[in-house]
Amino acid sequence: MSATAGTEITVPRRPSTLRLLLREPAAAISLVIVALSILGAVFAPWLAPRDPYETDLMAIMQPPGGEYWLGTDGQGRDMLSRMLYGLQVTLGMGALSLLFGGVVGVLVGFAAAYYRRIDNLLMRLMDILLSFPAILFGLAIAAIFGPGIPAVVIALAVATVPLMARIARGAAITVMGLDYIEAARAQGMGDARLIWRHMAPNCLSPILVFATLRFGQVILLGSALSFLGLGAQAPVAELGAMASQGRTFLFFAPHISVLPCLAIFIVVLAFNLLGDALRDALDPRLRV
Amino acid sequence: MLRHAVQRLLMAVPVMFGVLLVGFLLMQVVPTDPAVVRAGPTASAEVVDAIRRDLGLDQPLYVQFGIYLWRLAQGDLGVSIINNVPVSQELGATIGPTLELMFASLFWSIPLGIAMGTVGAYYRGALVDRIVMAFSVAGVSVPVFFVGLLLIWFVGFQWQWLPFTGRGGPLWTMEGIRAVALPAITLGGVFVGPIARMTRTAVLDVLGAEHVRTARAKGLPERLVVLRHALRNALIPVVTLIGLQIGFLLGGAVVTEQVFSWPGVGRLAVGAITSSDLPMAQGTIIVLSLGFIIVNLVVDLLYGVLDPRVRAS
Repeated sequence: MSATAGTEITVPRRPSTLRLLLREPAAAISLVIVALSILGAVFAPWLAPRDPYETDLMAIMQPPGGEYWLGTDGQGRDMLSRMLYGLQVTLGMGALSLLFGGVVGVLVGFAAAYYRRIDNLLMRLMDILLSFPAILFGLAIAAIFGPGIPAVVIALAVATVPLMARIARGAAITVMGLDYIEAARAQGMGDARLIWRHMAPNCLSPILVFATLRFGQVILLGSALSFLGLGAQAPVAELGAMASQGRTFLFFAPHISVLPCLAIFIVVLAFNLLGDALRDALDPRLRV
Repeated sequence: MLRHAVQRLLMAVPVMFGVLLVGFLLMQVVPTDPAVVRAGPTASAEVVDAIRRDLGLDQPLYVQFGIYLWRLAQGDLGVSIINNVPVSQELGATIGPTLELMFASLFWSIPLGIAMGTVGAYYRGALVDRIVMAFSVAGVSVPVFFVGLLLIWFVGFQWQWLPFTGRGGPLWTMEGIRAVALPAITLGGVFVGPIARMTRTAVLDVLGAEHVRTARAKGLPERLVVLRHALRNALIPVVTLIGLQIGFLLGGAVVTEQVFSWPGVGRLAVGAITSSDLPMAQGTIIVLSLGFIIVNLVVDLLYGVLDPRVRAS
């Protein structure tokens, strides 16, 4: 820091990431959708007009647009309320698995980049994990622990670890080659402090971009596992499970199945577009 | 080349062993006693003991693992606790339909995806490119079951064009083709997007290369430049990337089978897990995993043959 004190250079201020993001209409819309869906999920108990589990057998399979805004399902439960709670469970499952898998993945990636002796061993292990598709983890873990939300979270976390480890390792290795790391090390800074204070902050953007894109994927995978009956169990409102239960009524009341599907599609699409835009904004080299 | 092949083979062996070990341990962590299950609820303690000895369950774990491997090598994957049918028999009956579905999906989605990606790359930035890109983002964002349910609702139910439950027969019969049509459109539909995207990137890369400029400079027609000089070189990474997407295809196949009641391995696995039929679940997971490892291995080796640069690294 003191080394550059004499030579003052004025660099044109880089526009903030948020401003870069909002420049693209698709990205701006995605950001709004992502924000709204997260808010909807978090505040579901306050936003939902009715109890999502309260059945009304006098009003089953109501189409959208009447007394119930989005209609009712096969047991007369309010679709809007169930969708909001479903969003909460679906996004919650995705967030938990991304958090667990992401943290472990980052630790493994950083360790591999920093301690080169174990690099090869760690990354070969990651390769092995990577060689199995998430759906197989889902099947195996649901077979061991029984179907349920924990099985889905574990499976998706395990499937996320090697991907995140690769991203974190790649980012860390680039940073490790920079002079300031060498300088910090020369000052006698300990490993943990060096990694946490100097390496991690500079690896943040690729990790953030990957996490955003991955969030879309884990939601898609999680809802697929629930659709198969391996995740959320009835009567829990979860978008994939709701789509599956609605199949029984597909020919009389398609909205019961189509609305949750549509919600998953829109949310995942928004996360994917946002992730792409974030990558373009944070990594100017990739911008075309 | 040989070194690359041997290395890959050597790496696959411990992974396969790991899969078998996990498959074996799967039965150990589960709290139910297989001897009790097999004996039935009314069996006496002596009968249960006899069955336990018979199954080798009184032996230490490593001996049991040996017995398990030995049985596996003979194709004995145990017996379903739901309907008492040998697991291997059920697997044998379901592998064919699953491969059929995958083949029917790739048969149309790979050519279409490659064509879309090439067109998108050539008209980069134009409307047609934007449409291709939008389609591919939508493809990786849409739940497979959504595509399936929409097809069932419109094509199968409203317009009554095609059947939407079960398998009609072998692929070379009209019934077989009609029955596989909707599942294959569903599964292939979500696959077109990623293939188009990968092809677009690869073709864009090659279009900027010097040999393409040379081809143009010597006055070759654009059609030949793109098809012979750009696409052909771009196909190498595309083929590999398609191979790497087999996992994605498998995941989609499991869901597609469920949506269309297609009698494949994925549906068998899901049914076994949700009905706690552990031997069946174990067998399907082992077979799916091993199949997946082998496909990966073949793709990797093929890559080495197609692209000499891989062998070097």
